[in-house]
Amino acid sequence: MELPVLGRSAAPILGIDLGTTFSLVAVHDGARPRVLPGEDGDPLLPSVVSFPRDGAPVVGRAALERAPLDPTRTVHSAKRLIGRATADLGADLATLAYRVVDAPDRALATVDLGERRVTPQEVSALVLRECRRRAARALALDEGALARAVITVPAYFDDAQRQATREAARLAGLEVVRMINEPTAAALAYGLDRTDARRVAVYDLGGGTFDLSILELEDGVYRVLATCGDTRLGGDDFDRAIVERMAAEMRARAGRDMLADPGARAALRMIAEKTKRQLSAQTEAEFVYRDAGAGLAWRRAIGVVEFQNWIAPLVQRTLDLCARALADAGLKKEDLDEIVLVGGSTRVPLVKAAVGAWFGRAPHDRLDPDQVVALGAAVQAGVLGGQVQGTLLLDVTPLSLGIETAEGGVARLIPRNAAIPAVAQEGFTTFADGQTAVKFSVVQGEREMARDNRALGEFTLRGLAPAPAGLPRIQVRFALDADGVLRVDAREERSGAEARVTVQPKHGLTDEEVERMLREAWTHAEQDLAARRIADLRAKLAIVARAVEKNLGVARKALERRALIRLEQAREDAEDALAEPGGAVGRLQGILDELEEASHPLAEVLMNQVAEAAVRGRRVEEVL
Amino acid sequence: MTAAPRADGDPFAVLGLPGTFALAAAALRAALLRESLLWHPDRFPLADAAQRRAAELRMAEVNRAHAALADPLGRAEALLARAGAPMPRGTDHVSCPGVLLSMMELKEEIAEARAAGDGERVATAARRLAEEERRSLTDLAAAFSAWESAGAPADKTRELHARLAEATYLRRTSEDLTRTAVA
Repeated sequence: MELPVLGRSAAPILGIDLGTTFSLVAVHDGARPRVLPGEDGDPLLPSVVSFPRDGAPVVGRAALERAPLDPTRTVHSAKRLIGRATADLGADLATLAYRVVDAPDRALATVDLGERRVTPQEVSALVLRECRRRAARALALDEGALARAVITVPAYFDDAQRQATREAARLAGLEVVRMINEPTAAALAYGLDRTDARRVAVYDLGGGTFDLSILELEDGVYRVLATCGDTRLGGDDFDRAIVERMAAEMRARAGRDMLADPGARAALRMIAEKTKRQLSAQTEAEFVYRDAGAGLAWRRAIGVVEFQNWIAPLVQRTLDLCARALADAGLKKEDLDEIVLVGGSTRVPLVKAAVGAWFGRAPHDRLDPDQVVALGAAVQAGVLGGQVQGTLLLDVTPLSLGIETAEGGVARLIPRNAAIPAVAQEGFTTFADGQTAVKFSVVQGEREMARDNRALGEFTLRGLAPAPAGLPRIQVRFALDADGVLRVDAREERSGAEARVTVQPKHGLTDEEVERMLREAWTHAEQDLAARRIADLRAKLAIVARAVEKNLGVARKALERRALIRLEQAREDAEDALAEPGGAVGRLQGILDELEEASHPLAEVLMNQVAEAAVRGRRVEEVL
Repeated sequence: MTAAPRADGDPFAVLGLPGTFALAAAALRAALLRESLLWHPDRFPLADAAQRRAAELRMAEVNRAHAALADPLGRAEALLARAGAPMPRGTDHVSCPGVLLSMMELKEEIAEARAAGDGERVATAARRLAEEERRSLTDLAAAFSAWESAGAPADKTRELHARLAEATYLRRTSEDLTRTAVA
């Protein structure tokens, strides 16, 4: 048997944690994984995209700052929408400041900006592009060289959410070499410094999702035994618990319905988030909301005990899921060697305490809960890029996969917690005489009736030879790849009729749509690039103009008159250009060139003064 | 990569393990890790699509074999199939009337206790069912041990079939009860 040689690939594969509230990008340098900071030095990129009415989309911290100003056009928590329909969103819809509607032709939640709609895929794509841009800058590489990534998703993401995340990456121009589950990624980072075999539970409570995965670590092999979770349970819900109570009190006392106004909703959400963070460090925090225009000032002290009462039911839900994962793994609490805390929401003291009490041991909280998933993604990127040897991830599928039966039940082909990759097949037949086509509906979930599960899509096998009911033998085959993404095909054995079937996406995008969006994204990319150049030029212009202004005073007398007039004119033009926003690239460049040119005589005068000063024993700083 | 040796679906052969009911959990886990390191597609990051696809299929087969052998009922089925006497599909009816009767009685008892809201009685009946299930697995193990000591004769599988049918039936009953309890 021959095995291909494991080699190294040249450009690094990015490890990206595409989070609900923050995203991070990391790479493996052969020795260690490391998170790459943005220009501001902060490794956390807010997963927020703002779409100004005119101009290119704004991503990250700048978008977050725009949220209160432009709430209906600033999209946060796109991860809670991706691969979903509005009907799936429930309580989320009430507190989101932006408007969410289904796409006209399918169960796909989109953000309504008025003049157009954006899909959560496009929003996530912009965040992913920013991650890529960040990495290119930090590594001093061309963006084009960074075309491959390992992207993490919540373990409990279903097929539709995984497919949609893949679409987002494609829109961002990234090839997803592997999608890995967030708690599994965290385990990879956790296991970096350990060689002893152990059973570990990873408790991952992020901004929008909760996962619990139980793993066995042995000789570099990370095997997931069971996973359980809720893709709509996270720190966002803690914030919402505060927002809902504050809004109710304000309604009762001040008679105003804050939730009716998108701007107020966005503001309340941000204040609630801040209050929550304060309550992780102190026993009381002030919830302060001011709206000078409406003459409203609201102050309310929130005690930590009160806050804990509000979120206790949410924390209890995570513990119920822990119990289920343990049962699925066939283990008891005592069988675990460690509980690892991951995700920003595990900073909330109640969460930490409740998890410790439930498992009966102090949880391991020494990993940076914000960075560990991205670090794990970079480790897996290192494995797939050939820089990391001797590490292997064996993961499972979180939810059962099956076909709806004629009676509305489910024929389960792949059970939950089955190791992936997985294949399974099941025989079906016709229920009417002479039937030449059979329609199949693919479902995912644990409920008995198909309608209570998630419908992933349907397909029809045609061209069956007419036969009495029950005679045709149709084999449906499911293949779940190592990313946990499903492929389905069906074949009629008796007549030999074979049909490749693609499941029509119910919640995703068609190939044509992805192509169209890619073209649009390209146009946007050019706009983005222009915006960036304008910003760079303006910054440079400001620096030169300031320097000229500062030095002109002392050097004015020494300058030749013609040179002085030219320089003052150039400086005025620069000030005028800076006084108005934006500007065309060509014009700004022209003004900058002229200012630099015109300031040459000034520079010479200054140099001479410096030289003289040096001769006279004065320090340069005294001259300039 | 040359084609993997076809194991014809026999999970023992897929994992390179001796065909015995009393398979040690550690041996099974070691076999899974060994085969995973050989076949997982992540071990072929730079191979072409066709090779990765082949690895993926083979790994799926390894996973299926592991899942089958981790379950005593799956081991029993695999051993019977190897011996040329597979369990006929869809025939998990129990031939022993005694077991059938006591199960029907137990189901009724649980239904009545639930209707009466008597948690204590439900728990007692559920414990009895769990006890029965354990007993059926012990019997199954003993039957296979005796059969394997006799050289696994292909014409002496009637008792094994009966024991396996009983154990399967008990598991299904207890699963059904758990489900209705949840619902």
